[in-house]
Amino acid sequence: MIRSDHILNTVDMIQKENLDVRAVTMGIDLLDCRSRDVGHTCDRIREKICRYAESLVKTCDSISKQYGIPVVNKRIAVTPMASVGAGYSRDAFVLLAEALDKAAETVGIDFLGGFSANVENGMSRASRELILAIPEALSRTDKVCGSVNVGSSKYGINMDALAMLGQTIKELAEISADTGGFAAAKLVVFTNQPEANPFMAGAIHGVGQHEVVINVGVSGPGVVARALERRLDQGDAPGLQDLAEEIKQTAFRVTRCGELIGRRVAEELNVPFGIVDVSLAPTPKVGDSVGEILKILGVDDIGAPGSTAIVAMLNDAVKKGGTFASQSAGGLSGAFIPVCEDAELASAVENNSLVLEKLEAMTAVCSVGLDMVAIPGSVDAATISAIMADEMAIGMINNKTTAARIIPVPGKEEGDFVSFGGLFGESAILPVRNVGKSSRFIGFGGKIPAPINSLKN
Amino acid sequence: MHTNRTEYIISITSRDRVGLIYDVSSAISYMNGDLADMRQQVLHGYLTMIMYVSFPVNVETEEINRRLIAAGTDDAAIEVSIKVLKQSQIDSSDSIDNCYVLTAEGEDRIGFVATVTKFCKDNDINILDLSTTVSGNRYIMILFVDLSNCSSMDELRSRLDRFADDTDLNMVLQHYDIFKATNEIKIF
Repeated sequence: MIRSDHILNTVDMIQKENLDVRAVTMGIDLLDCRSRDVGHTCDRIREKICRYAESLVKTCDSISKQYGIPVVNKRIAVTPMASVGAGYSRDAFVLLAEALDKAAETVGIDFLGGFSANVENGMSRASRELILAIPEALSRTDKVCGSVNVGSSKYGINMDALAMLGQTIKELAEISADTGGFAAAKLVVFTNQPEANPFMAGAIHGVGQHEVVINVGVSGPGVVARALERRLDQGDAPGLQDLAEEIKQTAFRVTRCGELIGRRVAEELNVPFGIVDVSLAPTPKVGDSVGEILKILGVDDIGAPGSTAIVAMLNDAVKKGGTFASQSAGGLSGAFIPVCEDAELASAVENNSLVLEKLEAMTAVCSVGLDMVAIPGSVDAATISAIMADEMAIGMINNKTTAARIIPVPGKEEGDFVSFGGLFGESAILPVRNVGKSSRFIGFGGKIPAPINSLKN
Repeated sequence: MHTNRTEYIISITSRDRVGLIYDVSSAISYMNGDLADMRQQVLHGYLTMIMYVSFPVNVETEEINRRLIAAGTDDAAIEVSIKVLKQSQIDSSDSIDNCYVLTAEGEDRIGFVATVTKFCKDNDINILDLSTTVSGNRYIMILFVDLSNCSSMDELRSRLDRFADDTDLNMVLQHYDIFKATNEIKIF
């Protein structure tokens, strides 16, 4: 039997500290759906998704009730559509996105990821058509998310693709101006994109995965924050190593809950279990913030000197605890710092303590990158491409995943405010300095060659 | 257990002291008793122990009673209760497959335990283990419960929510697996 203080701790973690399973994501291979005719391919895609994911939502809900742990999002990741739709035109890719959206609607999931391409070492015709289709595809659909992997530690960074994506992001935001440019929040640009990742908007079901699989993304910033507060209340003047240990142990418990739920869902659906993404993914809810953890760990404002070091320690401790807890940790695994989705980060932007350059430094040691960053709508495409190039370079050189999800909010400038609603949250517009000064760099095009650390054979 | 033996459930209560369990268990082994399973708890300086034991058929209940009482001392007398088990009465499954943990927390008051256990009784919830703690004026009950007889988890959860509202208690029902997963190293 487990000791009663452990029982009460666990009860608190679930009931008072916002422990949930952030996402159960079913990965589905769609390569066998392709045919010569796009209409036929769309039919097959809808049929296959509906067949595999028919009971996904129902099963998640029932396991969630049985165990008393909320499963916040039920999602699907599919084979990157550039592979499924190779040979099709831009317009046909839009039809594929609509088919995915319809299937997502039918099975009742929250989001579907995989309107994606990998162009890390060059752009195939299929990838080009898909990228051209992104503005229309993501603005005409509700649930479809897209991602483009533009670089890797193996191949360098495809700067032609980044230049093109700066334009794509501007177009996405402008088409969806009435929702603050929200369509841009459904596109992520990656370096070293993981091929089994349950988190949106970058979830894909890469080539080399199972036919169908269940991956899980855990969460729990609130749980970590409360655990740290309790540790500090003990009054024995803990050092940072003691606080890191507390984070590690908490990450262990959070991950275990996620893995338990994920495995039960997979078992019930008779589908293999893939990975647990051991992540601290915040929500805009008060008390569910990664920013709050940074403040508990000793900076009065997020962005103050020390913030980067704290994110590094946090990210590492989360990985250590989570890896031991899970049989198969994967995906992004670490601490996310998505600005709009985290009330404390958003308020740090509002009070000017967190600036783009410091945020970029923090992303060098977090698990994702510049995530959900709302910038002025007037920032030009080349500057956006250059911001992304900086972020991609961090990932390429450090053998880590980095991502950019930037929303140039149409008609809004520094000091304005944007709200996307729900889990996407809200934020003040993050000012961008030195706008328009990177055009020559982006204008070169071509690629940043593979880094020396790619030569490992 | 062996043939030609009689099985018993024996419970004893005594003021706790050093050597008590040794004295009880050596009295049992002296009578050639096989101690198959036991649980013991100490509460406010008093010990209670429940044992599942078998003795050869020629050992009389009277002798067991006498020798166990004799294991007591002047200031820590032992009270003994002995029940002979028939085969049909043995439930060997201490299974925790469908085990949940129910916690109830609220202001300390007369009838707290009765209120919570009435809910369990009314909803076919079998209590496998129960402990309580007091922290300030808050009273906390931790119940390990078996929900095998409950048909709908949905229905049970909504009744529990209503009950918690009506009685001003904070009640949480979680599957035991969650506690194993978060507190034990090996589960998968």
